[in-house]
Amino acid sequence: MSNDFDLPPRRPLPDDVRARLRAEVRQGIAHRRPSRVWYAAAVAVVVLAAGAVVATRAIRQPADVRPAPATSGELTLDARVATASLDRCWAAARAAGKAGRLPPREDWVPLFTEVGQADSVVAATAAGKPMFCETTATTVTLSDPGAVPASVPAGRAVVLLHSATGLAGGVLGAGTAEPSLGWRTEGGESGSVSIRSSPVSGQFVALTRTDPARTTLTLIQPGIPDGTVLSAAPPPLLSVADRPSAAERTSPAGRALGACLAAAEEVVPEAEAYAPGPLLETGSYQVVLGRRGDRVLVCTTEPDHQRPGKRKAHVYPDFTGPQALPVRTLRVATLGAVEAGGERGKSRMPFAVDVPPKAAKMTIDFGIGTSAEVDVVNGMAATWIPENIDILPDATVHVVVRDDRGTTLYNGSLPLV
Amino acid sequence: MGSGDPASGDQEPGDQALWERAAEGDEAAFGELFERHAEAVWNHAYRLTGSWSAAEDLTSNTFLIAWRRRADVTLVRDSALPWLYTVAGNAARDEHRGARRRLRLLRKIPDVPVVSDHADAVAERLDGERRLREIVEAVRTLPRSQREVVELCLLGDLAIADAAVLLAVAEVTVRAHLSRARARLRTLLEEK
Repeated sequence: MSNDFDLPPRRPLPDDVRARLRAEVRQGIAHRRPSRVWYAAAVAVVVLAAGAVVATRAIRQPADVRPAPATSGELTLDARVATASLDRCWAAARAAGKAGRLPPREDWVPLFTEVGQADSVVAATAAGKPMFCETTATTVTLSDPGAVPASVPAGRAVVLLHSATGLAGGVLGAGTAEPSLGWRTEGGESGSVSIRSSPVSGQFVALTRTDPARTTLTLIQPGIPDGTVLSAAPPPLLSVADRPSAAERTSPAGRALGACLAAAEEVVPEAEAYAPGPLLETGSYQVVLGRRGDRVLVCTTEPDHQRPGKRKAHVYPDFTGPQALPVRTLRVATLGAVEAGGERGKSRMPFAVDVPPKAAKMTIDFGIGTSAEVDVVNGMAATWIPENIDILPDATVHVVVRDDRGTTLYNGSLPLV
Repeated sequence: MGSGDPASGDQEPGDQALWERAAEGDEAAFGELFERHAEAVWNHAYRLTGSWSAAEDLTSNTFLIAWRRRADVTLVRDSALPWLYTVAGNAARDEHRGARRRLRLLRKIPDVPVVSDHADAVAERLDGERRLREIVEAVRTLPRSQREVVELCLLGDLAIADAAVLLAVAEVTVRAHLSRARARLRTLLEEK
C-alpha cells in the first residue's frame, strides 16, 4: 500500500534501542504506580501530622526514624534530609531577619522529601500551613507559608514555590484525578510530569528545571489535555546563597559558560559553581562544557530560527551520573537542526565526553580515516563531529584517553550520539 | 520475551488477553505487549517523524500513554497495534505542536549530513531519509481526517477495514480519505 511513496523499509529493532525503550517504559510505569508502600508512607505522615511534639521528637532523633523505602514513584520522608534542610532554612531565615514571619521551628512538620542530584526539597507544614524548603550545596530557598490560600478546591492547584532551580511546589485540591504538572517556556519548550500529593496537606513537588520567569505552569488532568494555567508562584520568603561558591568566569570559556547558563531557559542548581570546560565555536554555534564535582553539563548557543534575530541557549545536564563508566558520551542536541528551522546541510553536532579528572588528551577516531586529538579540560573533552560522517543511531567512535604523561586511561568505543 | 512479532504461537496469549490483564494492573502482561509490538511501533514512529531518535522517544511515549489509558481501550481484531499506531500518531502531532521538548531531542540525529562521496549506499539511504522527511512534512499539511488514514493505512500499512473500525467510520469513508490524501501528497511531493 505504501510502496508508491518510496517509504523506507522497516528495520529490525536493535537490541540496545529495545533495551533503552524497555527501561524508559518501565521507569515511566513505575512513576505512575500507586503502591502499598506509598500508603505505608502516608500512614507515617499522618502520624507525624497528628502532633508536632511527636513529629519534632521523631525528626530530631533520626536514628529512630527510618526513611520510607526509596521505591520509585512514591512519596518518602528521609528524616535526616528533612531535619538538616529545615534547620538550614530556619538558620538562613534568622540570618536574614525573617524568622519573625515564620512560625517557630518547633512547629515545622516535614511531610515528605525529594532528593535530587544537586538539590533536595522538604515539603512541610509550618503551624499547619504548607511550606517548602529547598537546599543545594550553596543555596537555601524557602516558600512563604503566609502566602498560602485558605483552601484549594478539587480539580485545582496553587503553586507556592517555583524556585531558581526550576523546582515547583504547590498544593493540589483533594480528589483531583490523575494530575500532571505541565510547563511551557517562552521559547516553546514544554514538558509534564505526573504529580503525587501528600494525603495530609495536598502538597506536591515537581522539577521543571526551567526559569520561573519564563515558564507557564499548567495543571493537566484527563479530559483537559491542554491543562489549566496556574497562577505564578508568589516570591519565596527567602532565596539566598548561604554557602556561596563561584567558579571562574573571566576566561573565554568561563565567560561563555556563564553567559550560556544565564541565557538558557533551563536552569541548573548551583549554576554559578560549574567550572568551565572545553569551548567549541564555529560560525554562529557555540558549545561549552561545565563541571561541578561529579556533575557535568553541556550548554549550547545558536540562532533561534523561530525568533529571527535572536539567539537561544540550552543546557544539557548529564542525568546519567558518573556510574561505573570512566568515560562516557554526553548527550546534546544538534545545533541548527532542520526541525527547529535551521537551514538544511548547515547543522552541526558536537561530540562531548566526560573523562577521568586526570586525563589530559583524548584522541578520537571517527572511522573516516583520520583521527583528531583534543585537549581535556577539567575532565571534559569536546569536538565537532565531522560533517561528512555517516551518523546512525547506533554509531560508535573509538577514543583513547591519556594523562599528561601519556599513560592510557581509556581505550575503547563510545556511542557517537 | 519475544522480539517483536505480533503473531503468536498456539501457546502465547493474544493481545486481547494480555491487554485485559494489563488493564487490571498486570505489568508483566503489558511488558509482553511491549516486546511484541515495540519494533513495529518504532518503525511506524520513524515514518511519522523522519528521525530515528525522535522515533525512539515517540515509541516510549506511545507505550506510556498506552499504559495510562489501557483501561479505556477496546482492541481491533485482537491486535493492539492499530491502537498503538493511533496513539503514536496523536503523540507525534502533540510533539510537533509543542515545538519539541528539549529533553526529547537529547539523542537527536542531525539533519541529513553532507553526502559522503565514496559510498553510494550511504547516499541512497540519505536520499531515502530526505524523501521521508518531505513525506512527513506533506502529511502534516493534510486535513485531519485524511492525515489519520494516511498515518494508519499508508505509513502504518494497516488494513482499511481495521482503520475504519479504529476511526469509527465506514470503510468507504476511509477509502475516500485515502484517495484524496494520495492525490494531495503526490502533488505536494512533486512540487519539492
